Amino acid sequence: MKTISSNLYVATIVLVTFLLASCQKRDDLVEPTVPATENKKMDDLKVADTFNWSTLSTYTIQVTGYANAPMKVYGADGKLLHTAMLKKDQPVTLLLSIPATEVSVVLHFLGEQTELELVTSPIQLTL
Amino acid sequence: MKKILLSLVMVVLSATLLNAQSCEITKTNGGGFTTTIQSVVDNCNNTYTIVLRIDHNGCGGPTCKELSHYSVQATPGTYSNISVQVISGSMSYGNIDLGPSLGSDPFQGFKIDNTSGIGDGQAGSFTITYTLSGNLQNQQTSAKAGTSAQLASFTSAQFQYVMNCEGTNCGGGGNDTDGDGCDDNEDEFPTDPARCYTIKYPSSGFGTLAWEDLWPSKGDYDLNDLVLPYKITLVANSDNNIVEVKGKFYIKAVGANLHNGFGWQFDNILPGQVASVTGHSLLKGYVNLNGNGTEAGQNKAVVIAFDDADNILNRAGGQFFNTLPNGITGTSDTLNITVVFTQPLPQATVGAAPFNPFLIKNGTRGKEIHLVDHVPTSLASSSVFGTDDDDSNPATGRYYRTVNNLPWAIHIPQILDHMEEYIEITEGYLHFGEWAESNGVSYPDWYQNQSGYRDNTKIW
Repeated sequence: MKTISSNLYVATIVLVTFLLASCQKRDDLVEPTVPATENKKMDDLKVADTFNWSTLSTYTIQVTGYANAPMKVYGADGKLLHTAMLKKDQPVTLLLSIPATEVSVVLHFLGEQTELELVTSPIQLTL
Repeated sequence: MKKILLSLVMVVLSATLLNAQSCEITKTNGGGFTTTIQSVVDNCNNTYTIVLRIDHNGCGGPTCKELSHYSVQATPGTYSNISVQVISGSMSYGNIDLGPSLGSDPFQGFKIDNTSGIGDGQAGSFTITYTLSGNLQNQQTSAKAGTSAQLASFTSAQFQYVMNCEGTNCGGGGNDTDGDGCDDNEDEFPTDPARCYTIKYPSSGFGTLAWEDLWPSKGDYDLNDLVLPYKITLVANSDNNIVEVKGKFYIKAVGANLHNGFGWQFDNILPGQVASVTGHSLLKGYVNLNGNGTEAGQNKAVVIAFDDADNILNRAGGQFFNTLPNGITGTSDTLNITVVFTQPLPQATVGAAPFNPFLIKNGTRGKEIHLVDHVPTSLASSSVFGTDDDDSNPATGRYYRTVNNLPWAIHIPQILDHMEEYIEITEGYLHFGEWAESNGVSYPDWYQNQSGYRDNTKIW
């Protein structure tokens, strides 16, 4: 009986300690902002030898304008990406290096706006 | 707004025609009719006199019918003194309808009504002169023939352009203080005839270059051995050629024991095409310069920004910086480097910023670490290629890749929230691997701070 009582006493102490420890706040534990996922190690990535690891795309755009006036190139978010001073009937080549997430730009020329889808490079156009 | 899909061939975006005369702007109405802004005169009393010229090319058949009326859009109460003059052919008209309602036309304004003798095989030309009060306006025109309205649109900016081009505004032309052909309204340097406008990379804020520095051995792929935000500004003249390049750099992190330098090469520019380089920080003595500030001994123009990151860091101790929890932190000075060319160069020659950037490993000038497949400079030691983990093959243009095509450097168009020390970038940027394995198709925005994109506990 004494043995049983002693064992019960020890078990109760262990259980209470465990419960208290479980409820203790861990100030030093920072919750990840996203659930943990199994991300591949760099060495395990299967990367094509054609991949350029670039987050930007570069387009060569040759524009011929019908007037001597500035042309401005804006991104989808309205940010000014590029400016060019067009010359009447003379092609002007500009190099547009923008985030690869951009799939189109908007050309502003003499009050008119033209959306240009960025599919390939070089691009030639006449305004 | 027009929406177009472009391929390699030339695409004509609008029905705009090119003119032989310098200042006119011509639009196509259709059915053989075109409308030209022939002149715009600022009368300096808050009115403008505008002359439109309407031409028909003489085409006939069902798509080229005779003109029944010609309408001009204008805000009611702003137009007056309308007159018509036949230039060629046998065009005639019945009356001038002052509107403002124009029946079937989709705008208000005035029209030259009951016309005949032009269109349907009858070539001809006539002008319409009118006075507009207040401001210049966006104006449509309609060359009504048969049932077709045949519209052409002009913007107020196009009327303004013709006026400035002809010098018929009150000032006798556009304002161009320095006479460089770049109107003061557009000129970011209105008193400097050599400079007109700027192009910024990225368009706002900073981009970032980030390296592993153990090349030709792989590192821990935290890509924080040097984290270098940059902003590049190209200064162009009115001929769209680049006069100078300005670079702004600071160091965001150094997850390394090594003392690394940084520079870039203009791959298509010779050293002699550079007039001057200013603003670099070269204190270690291993970089030799030409008189113009480019690096000596190079076949191409090479700019070394700093020969040791420590030159511009303010930290306690010489190892690591902003990468270890509870580790060394500090600040970085900002380097402002200006490269001026001897002659303005086409943008295609200067290249896309940040050009061909590279890290110089630990003061060993021959050890350069570039972005993948970017050529080394003349001073890079070719004997290192193909050693250890490097799988470069200069004969095929393959550079700075492992056998598994992993890089030693990356470049993103915004500030990189870099990894904590010793943690692979795939652990913090949860779609980095998918981006790489998809050849850049999936998650091209992996670096952005979007829901589910990051494990912020692993990012410094």
